[in-house]
Amino acid sequence: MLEAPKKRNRALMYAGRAIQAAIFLAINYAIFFVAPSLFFSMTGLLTSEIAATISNYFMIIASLTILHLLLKDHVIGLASSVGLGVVQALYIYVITEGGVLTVSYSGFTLTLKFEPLLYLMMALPLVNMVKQISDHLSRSAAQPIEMVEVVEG
Amino acid sequence: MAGVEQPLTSKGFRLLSIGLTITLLLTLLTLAYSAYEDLAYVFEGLSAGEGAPQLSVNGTHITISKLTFANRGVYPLSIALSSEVMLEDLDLGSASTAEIIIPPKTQRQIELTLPINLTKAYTDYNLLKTILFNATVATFKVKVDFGLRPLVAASLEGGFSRSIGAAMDGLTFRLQSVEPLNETHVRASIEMEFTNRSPLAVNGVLHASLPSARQTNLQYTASPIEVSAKPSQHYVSQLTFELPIEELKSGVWYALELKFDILSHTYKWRAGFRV
Repeated sequence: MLEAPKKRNRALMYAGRAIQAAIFLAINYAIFFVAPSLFFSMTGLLTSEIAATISNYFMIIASLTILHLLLKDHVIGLASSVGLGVVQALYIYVITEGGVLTVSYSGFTLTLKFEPLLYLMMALPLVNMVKQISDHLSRSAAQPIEMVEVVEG
Repeated sequence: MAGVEQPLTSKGFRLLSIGLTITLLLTLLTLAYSAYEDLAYVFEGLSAGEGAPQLSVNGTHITISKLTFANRGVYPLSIALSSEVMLEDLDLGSASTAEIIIPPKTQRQIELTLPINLTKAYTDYNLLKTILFNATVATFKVKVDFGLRPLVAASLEGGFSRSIGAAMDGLTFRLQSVEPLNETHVRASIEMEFTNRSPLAVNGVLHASLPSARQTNLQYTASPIEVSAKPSQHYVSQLTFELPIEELKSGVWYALELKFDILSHTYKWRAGFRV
């Protein structure tokens, strides 16, 4: 008798997580796919190699985002969230070429160095990653105890 | 099931994450605003002719003056200029300014003087020949280091090449007049003309001699001419020879031997004229 509401609750929970995943996927698509593609095409730096890098990293980020959000309370979810943080930070580093971008136009070369800004951008996913680990550790250390009333008679 | 309260560390990380996001957004916004304001100033100034640098060449120096920068952004703007002049493959000179820091809402005027060591060009015999008689290519390289301190540093490097005309373009010698001096000798006046098409002044002493057509090891020498031609100047002067009458024959080509002393270096060549 209790199986049906439990299943419904689980279905609702996963539906909520799927919506959350879709929202985060859209945000990640804007940040990690659209923004770099636009930037590189506007500056004339978009090569097939860079386009492939953007697509590959975005595929990994998208997969890890979905896994992390759908399996929040599972160890795979934690692993995905750690992987997501590392991949996002690595992607930011790789795509900005370590904070040094060079644009050449009609005999002039513009070199842009923004390492402090890069570290600030990389800090965000890494802090989120540490937060996820910390949350998981504190969750496992403080599991709620279900009190079951025993009626003797 | 009882709810679990978020631990303190989680709250701390959440706050840190929010703080970092706000910092990043504010930094990006202020950087974009500063970059836009500073670039807008440069382009407005260039289109209005204000703040555009004045380039002057005075023979031994190239001076970039009245280069005005205003920092309308919110970050201190740092600027350093360096430039280099090359003639063909020869480095004639370079100069650079120290790093100039313009605080927000202020403006500075920058001047850069580039010394040109022409003796380098004059010691290269082939290059001297090219400078004097042929058009050459001068390359002006410039590097601008600027940045919105301490977050972004940028470096703009480039250059342009300019064709420089010959210093003695169209040099010709023409027999202008032959006047009798006495029964045995004549005075031959040879007109020399050229146009200085280079941006550099030509200053030197020209020695001319005319080998005898009849006798080997005999040369007639004209008085040296002090040549001084400013850029774009059409220079005309005369060489005067006192020659025996029989040396000059109508319709014959004669070869002048010329020596040009310029900045303690000598260039020798031959030029012909017809009687």
